[in-house]
Parts: sequence; structure tokens; C-alpha cells
Amino acid sequence: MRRHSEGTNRGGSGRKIACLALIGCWLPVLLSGCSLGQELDEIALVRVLGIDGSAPVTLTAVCGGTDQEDPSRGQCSGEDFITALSALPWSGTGIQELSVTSVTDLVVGRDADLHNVLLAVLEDRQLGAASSVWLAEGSAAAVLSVGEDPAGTLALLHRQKIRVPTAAEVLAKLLSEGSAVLPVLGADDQGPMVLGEETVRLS
Amino acid sequence: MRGEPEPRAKSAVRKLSGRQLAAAAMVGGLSLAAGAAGRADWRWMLVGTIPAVLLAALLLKRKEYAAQNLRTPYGRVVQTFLMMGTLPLMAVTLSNAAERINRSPAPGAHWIVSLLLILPLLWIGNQERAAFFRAAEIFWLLVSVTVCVILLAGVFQVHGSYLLQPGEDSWKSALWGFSIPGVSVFLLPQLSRTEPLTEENGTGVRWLTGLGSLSALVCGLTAGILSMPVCLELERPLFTAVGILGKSARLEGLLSVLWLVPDLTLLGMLSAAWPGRYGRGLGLILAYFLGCSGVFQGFPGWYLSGIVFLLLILSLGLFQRAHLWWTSDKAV
Repeated sequence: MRRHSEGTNRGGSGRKIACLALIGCWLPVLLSGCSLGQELDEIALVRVLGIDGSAPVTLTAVCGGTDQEDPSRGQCSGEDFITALSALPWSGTGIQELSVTSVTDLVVGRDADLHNVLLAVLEDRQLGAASSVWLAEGSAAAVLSVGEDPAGTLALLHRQKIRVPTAAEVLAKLLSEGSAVLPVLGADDQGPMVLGEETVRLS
Repeated sequence: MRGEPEPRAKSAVRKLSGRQLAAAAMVGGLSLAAGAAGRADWRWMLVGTIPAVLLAALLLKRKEYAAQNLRTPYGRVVQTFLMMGTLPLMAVTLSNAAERINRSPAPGAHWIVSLLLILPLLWIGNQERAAFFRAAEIFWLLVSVTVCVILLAGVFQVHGSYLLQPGEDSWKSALWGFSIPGVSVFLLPQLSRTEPLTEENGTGVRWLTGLGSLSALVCGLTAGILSMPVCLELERPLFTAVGILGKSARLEGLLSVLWLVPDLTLLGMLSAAWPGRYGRGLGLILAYFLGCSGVFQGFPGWYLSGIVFLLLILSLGLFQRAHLWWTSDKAV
């Protein structure tokens, strides 16, 4: 009987070890969402992303907004949207890394390839497919460079019940109907302002 | 020896219930449904589900024959084809799951993540089969809650006009609809280990009807949120659609991890078609190398449903009364 109970204990501890090993292997997978592991003080959340050009693509990132005090900006370029996006986190003016997990607005310049940009936004794991899409009167960088807090101004425009389609809606309209209606953003001394609406077509 | 618990009968430990098999088919089938979402037309999927369920209702009444015929030479041929058929499905499922959760651009990361994914399956594969199928019943609770939340949250985001847009060819969509409940064909080798509960035939049909309907609902929801032309341009439309529900891409990451449960259940269910503990491990390891080497990359998604369809046709012979020309002495 003693031998039997020893065998059982050995089997039980073996199972525990196997369980622990599995948990150890699985935790990194399950916690992959936290893999960046950085202090919040070192991250600045990008609220608005401006996109200009098709090759090269220039991205303008604007932080700030209603729940962030620092409206810091960053700008970078790349051969295409994905390359530029990968360089964006280290393009900020401060010491903080720019994070694109909370982008609420995309401002697209007239020379941007809207179809490819929206497809890349939907495929990206960090950018939200529910981000609102605006069309810049000139370049997106010019619209977002005016004013102290462009992200805050856009948040204010959302509260005024202006109908702004999401990235998924715009791409669906473009691919289903060949065109989509986007609100046009211009800028005055105070910051971005709505100039009207315009129909964009799939090139 | 008085006071010591009676050792459980070996057969009682090994026997599986019809509900356990049905739960495994349901959870594993949803993994295939994620692949069909945004590709297949949900209406044709429903059309394809109807013959699958009717066939299941017909065959389940004759499952005693199938259990008997599995021991015949023809049954062994079918089992061999089933084992071979599991390999592309397991390889693609494992590869897709690893690719979905892998965030590292390092060249070997895909191999490591895939290995991490099959480790629990290798472990549970080394236990009795009943351990996996008991776990599948628990997984069904988690998956049903997840799917319910997605459906309830998603129904308000659906655009009616998108629902009517056509997806892939109608026959491919119908094939998906037929093959997702049809994935239960890989459970045939378990029939000889199932309790002989004839009253569970109706339960099996209900579960397969639920699986087919739920798959069509998931496909309809994905198409209704994103529109079919957008879905056809995306790699993982279901997960992108869920990202929209949460107004943040991070919900997509959460579902990616939660959807490992159907993926791993499908892998476990398929590996259980291999005989013995070492056989299951061998099947998983072969699938691991096939998946990581990218042999099946570039194939259209519907060919997996084609494999299931062909295996189902091949298996029909098992449900006939045993004939002399394919029976051995042991089987009768």
C-alpha cells in the first residue's frame, strides 16, 4: 500500500509540474496584449493621425484631446503607410513614445491613396477600424499644425453631432458603391474647422 | 482493504457520451466558421446546412453499424483516410492560430508560438481520450458566452444592405455550410467508445443544426458589419468586425486569444482521430511541421471544406449493414 500511495503522489506532483509548465508557457501568450510593458508616463496616446501622400507617405500624429493635457505632435515618412506607421512611435518631439492604440480620428490628405490607407488601418492590430475619417482641404499636416489642441477641437466637432463615417464604413462605401461622402476639414487660427462635405471616388 | 474506494471500471472511465462528442464538434466547428466568415455567403451556408443535418439524422440512427464496420478492412481504410485528412486541417488551423496571436516579426517566432499552442494538446493527448472530450464540454460554456456577446453587440452594427451582398461562389458557400457540421465525421473513430445511447440521436442532430445555424449567423454578422467587398480584402474579417464593436482594435486582440479555444478544440478533436497516445502526438507533430513550413499556404480557404466533404462521402459506406465482402471475422 505504501508503494501504491508513493506512486500516486509521484504522479500527482508530476501533474502539478506539468500544469505549472503549461501555465508558464501559456502566460506569455495570454498576456501578449501587455507585451510592450512600459510605464504610462513614457507613452503619449495619439488621438489624431494625419496621412499625406501615397509614396512616400507622411504621417502626422497629434496627441492631446479631452483626457490628455499634452498636445504633443510627431511626424514621420515612409515608403508606404505601414512603413511610416512602424516609424511613428519614435517620431515624437518629446521623450515619450507615441502609441497609436487610441486613435479616434484619421485626417486624410487629398494626395493620399484612400483605399490602401483604409485597408491598412483595418488590417492593423493597433489602429481602430472605428476611427472617424475626415478629408483635409489641403494637406493633413497643414490642418493639424494649426491651433493648440487639434485633437480637442475634433472631439468638440464630434459632440456637435457632425456625421463622420468610420474607416470601415468609408471603405465599404468605396468598394460597394465606388464613392463615399467625407466631411472636409480646413483650418483657421483656432484650429481645424468643418468646411462641408465632399464625395471621394475610388481611383 | 475495507474502506478503500473501489477502483473504477476501466470501461466506465473510457466511455464517452454523445453530448461530449457533440460539444467537441460544436466548439471545433466554430473554428472553421471563423475561416468562412467574410468569405462564404451566409444564405448559401444555411442551404448547405440543411442536407448536412438531414444526412446526420439519417446516419445517427445507423451509428451502431458504423461502430461495427470500423473494425472491418473498409473501416480501417476509412480511418486511414480520416487520419490523412486531419493533417491539412490541423496544419492550417495551427498555422492560422499562431499567425493571429504572434506579434513578433522575428523569423522563428511562428515556430515557437505554434509549439506553445500544441504543448497543451500533446499533454492532454497523453491522457485518456475522455479527458479531452470532458474538457470540450467546459470549453463550450466559454465559447457560447463569447459568441452570444458578439452576436448581441454586433446585431446593432449590422447594415441591412450589406447582408444581401453576395460572397464567394454559391457552391463554395454551400460547401462551407455542409462541411462545418460535417467536421463531426472526424469523430467516427470515437463511436466504438461511445455509450450506446440511442435516445441521443436527436441531441446530435440538434447540436449539428445549432452549429450550422451559428456558423451562418457569424458569417452574416461579419458581412453585415463590414460589407462583403471589404471582407474579401481582409485576412481575418471576423476579428476586424469585432474590433469595430468595441470601438477599439484591442477587442480584436481579446477575441484572437479567446478564439484559441475553438482552434485548440478542433486540433484536439482531429488529433483524437489518430489511434493511441503516441498516434495523437505524432499527428500533432506532423501537423506542426506542415503548418510551420507553410506547405498549405496559398490554398483557397474552401478546400478544407472540400476535404471534409470527400471524407464524409467516403465514410457513408460505414453506415451500411456489414457485408461479407468487407467484414473480417472479428467484426461479426
